[in-house]
Amino acid sequence: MAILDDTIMTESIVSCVWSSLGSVRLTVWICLALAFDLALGYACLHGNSTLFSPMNEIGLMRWAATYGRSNVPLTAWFFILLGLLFLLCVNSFTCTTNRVAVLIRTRGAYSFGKFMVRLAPHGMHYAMIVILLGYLASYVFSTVHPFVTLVSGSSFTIPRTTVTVSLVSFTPRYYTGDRLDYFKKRVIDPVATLKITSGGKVETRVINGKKPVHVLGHSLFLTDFSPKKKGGGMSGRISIVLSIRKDPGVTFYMAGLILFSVGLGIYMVPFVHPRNDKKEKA
Amino acid sequence: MLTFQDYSPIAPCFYLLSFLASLRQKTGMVAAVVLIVPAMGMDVYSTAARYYHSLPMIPLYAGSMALPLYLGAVFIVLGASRRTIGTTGARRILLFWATLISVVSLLFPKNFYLPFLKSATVSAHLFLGFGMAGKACFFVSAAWAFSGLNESGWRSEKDVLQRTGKQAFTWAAWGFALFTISMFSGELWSYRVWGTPVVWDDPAITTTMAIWFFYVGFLHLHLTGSWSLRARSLYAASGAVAVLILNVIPDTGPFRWPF
Repeated sequence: MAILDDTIMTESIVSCVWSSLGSVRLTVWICLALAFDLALGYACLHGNSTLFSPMNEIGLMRWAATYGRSNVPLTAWFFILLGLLFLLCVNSFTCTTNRVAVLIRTRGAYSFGKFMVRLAPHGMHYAMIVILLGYLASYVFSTVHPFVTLVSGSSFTIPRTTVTVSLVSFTPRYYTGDRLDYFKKRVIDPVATLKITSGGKVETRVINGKKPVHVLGHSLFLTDFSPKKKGGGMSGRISIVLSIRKDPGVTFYMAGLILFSVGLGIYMVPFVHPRNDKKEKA
Repeated sequence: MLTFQDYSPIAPCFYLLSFLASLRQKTGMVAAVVLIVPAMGMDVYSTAARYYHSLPMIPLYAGSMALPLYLGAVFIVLGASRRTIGTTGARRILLFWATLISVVSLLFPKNFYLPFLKSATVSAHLFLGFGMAGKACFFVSAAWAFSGLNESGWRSEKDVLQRTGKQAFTWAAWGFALFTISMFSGELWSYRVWGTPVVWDDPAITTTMAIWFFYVGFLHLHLTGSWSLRARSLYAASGAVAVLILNVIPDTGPFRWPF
């Protein structure tokens, strides 16, 4: 009998905690706290971006242990942000799951269109959680080789792989017009040809500043180049700088972005075609 | 030949005249519409000139300069649409915001940065355009909320706040949708060019997210009916202050006398 009472009390506590965590009032306060913390973050980040930009290269854990821990007055907002985002994810998940369960139970009361419109915000909530998990995976598990400089004839082997990247040629497009004074004779579109060797297989890929090249799970980004002007550069030697990243979070946050966008589109349908309540009541 | 920068003091003057005209009771709004047209014309010219000198890249910190243009367009559209409680008040407040932002952009310009090469992408242009449209909708939402709070003092409070609150919510929802598209475009741009969706070099990333979460809170508040009508209207009204401080002010530079 005592065991049964304990079980009932435990279930009751769990149920109480579950509903508290899923409270929409809590959502509103978390969002306001996030807005305030991010506004504070602007003040801390302004003029101190050199403290935060290494996070993209060294990852969240190493950054927290080094830059983060050594500059707490300027980085505290970021740790608070992580805590609030975690709370928001828990709150979103519990609230959304409760409501989706009710919606599915009462599915028969709605037409397909109305059901999708009601389901859309919940899709957006789950998508937001997927996006945030994607960012976390990206910052915790990414492998980054940030400043890989290649000149003609040099190559770089991505560590722990058999992939070798070398520069074949740099054939940029120069600005030749008159409209942009500050870009006369400067590179307007950097284009480089890379030779990528992997396990005996050789292929040629073209990279530019706007689109990465993907090779065996790694992404290559053209982050810098020289010379920037026709006939310019200190020694006239051509070089490019690549950032090579293996990021397991990309798939998650891109999928989350797409799912959120679809949900948002469906959610906005009633705003584009508002129903006439008076007509329906008649 | 005058450059677009020489024309820029004209737009704030006409916005101010339009706002002052709108305060007159009888024919004020008609005069306001007449006066806002040249202001918007100058803004179109200035924005087009900025773009002409930047394409294929985006003009930096141009958002606040073009924002009054969006607000002016909504002002005209609201005038042509069916009148409801709060329309006149909301239109006046829109003119006030347009004037304020135009004057701030004139006196504190940040037009001395050259465009950078990495902004020559479609997603960068989507980020800029949708961002401006989203912020404009937030200002319109706040205008409706302000109007409701003002008029509820001498009419049936619940009726007024419900009608203007519905308008404030609709505009906030549109602003949220457009702002989200802007944010996602920005993330896509950032990923394809820098390899990561968040680049910490520009502190504006934090203020963009701050406004996004602010309006996420408002949408939840409205949909669940939490807080009183008056409290929700105050929340919506404060959105304009939040956007002004977090998104418009960071786009401004040091004081520069324009004449």
